Amino acid sequence: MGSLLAVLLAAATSPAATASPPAVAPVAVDPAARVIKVTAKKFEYSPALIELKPGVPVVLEFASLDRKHGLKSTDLDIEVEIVPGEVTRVPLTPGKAGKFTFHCSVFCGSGHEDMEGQIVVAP
Amino acid sequence: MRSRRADLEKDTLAGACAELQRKSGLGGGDEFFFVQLSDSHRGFQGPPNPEAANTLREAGAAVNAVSRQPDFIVFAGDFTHTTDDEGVRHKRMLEFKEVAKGLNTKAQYYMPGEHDAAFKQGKIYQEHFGQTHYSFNHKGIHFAAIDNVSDPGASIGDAQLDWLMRDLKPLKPDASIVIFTESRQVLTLREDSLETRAGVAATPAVSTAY
Ligand SMILES: [Cu+2]
Repeated sequence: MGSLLAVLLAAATSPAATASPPAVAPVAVDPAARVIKVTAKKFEYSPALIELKPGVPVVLEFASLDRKHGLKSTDLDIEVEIVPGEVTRVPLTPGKAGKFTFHCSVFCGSGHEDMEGQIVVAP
Repeated sequence: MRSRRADLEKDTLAGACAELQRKSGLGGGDEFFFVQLSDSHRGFQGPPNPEAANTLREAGAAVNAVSRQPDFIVFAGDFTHTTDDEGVRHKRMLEFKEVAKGLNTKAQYYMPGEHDAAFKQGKIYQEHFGQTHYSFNHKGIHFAAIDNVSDPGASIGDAQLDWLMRDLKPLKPDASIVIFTESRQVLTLREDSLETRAGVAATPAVSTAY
């Protein structure tokens, strides 16, 4: 669970990195896009595996079954909150094939670190 | 299981102790070392960390055994594993403090992890450990601890950012700064940044530890 002991020599002066603001929900929703419903609850997404095709637009619709969760994928530039009673829509058109993980970005309790899923983009 | 926690090698502790021994032979002058302890997850039970009840004590004993003691120890979050039971939470924090008391190095700095503080926005954590953000100077280096876990969504928040700007503003442009955060965080300090950041001398080098 943890890096229990780390030793640091306090002389490090690495250059300041550039901040990148979190991605906000993207552009307009394509009415023809397939809708994929995904639920979030402690500590899992369902489905946890989402299969998409490159260049084919979809809308991911997230809903929470218990408490506030989040979803973040650095690879796909997605970061949203999933709040009970609301539907969070994320239009997505995968650019390239690959496997992209996502995880819960709102601390939701013991097991939060295991709350993750994968978007697989394949032709 | 996310790699951040799962992929840690089992011999982390042994390796770190060897490193400590090496560092304890530092030369004179302004050289120093400190120890960062984190993620003892007191109260956790399960396979990824079967020894959660003992690891902090063992790590503490390892640090105590080093010939030259560190200048200070930073406890960088997740001392306790999260629980929705307030009583249990208090108990875990008290137990943690008891172990920390046994360390020979008395200069100790605490900062929260999500498991300690995301519940009730850090209220119980603060009852035990005080402020969740602060700064101090040590041998010419400026250290600041930033809390990005009391908000479950990992936001630092404007008030804290303003505090950080005020805290860093008096420093010289070439100041060495170490910033501790529990969750990964990128902080950029620039002369021409946002209004709230204006006036910071230049672009100080910022190191983060998490
Ligand atoms: Cu969650």
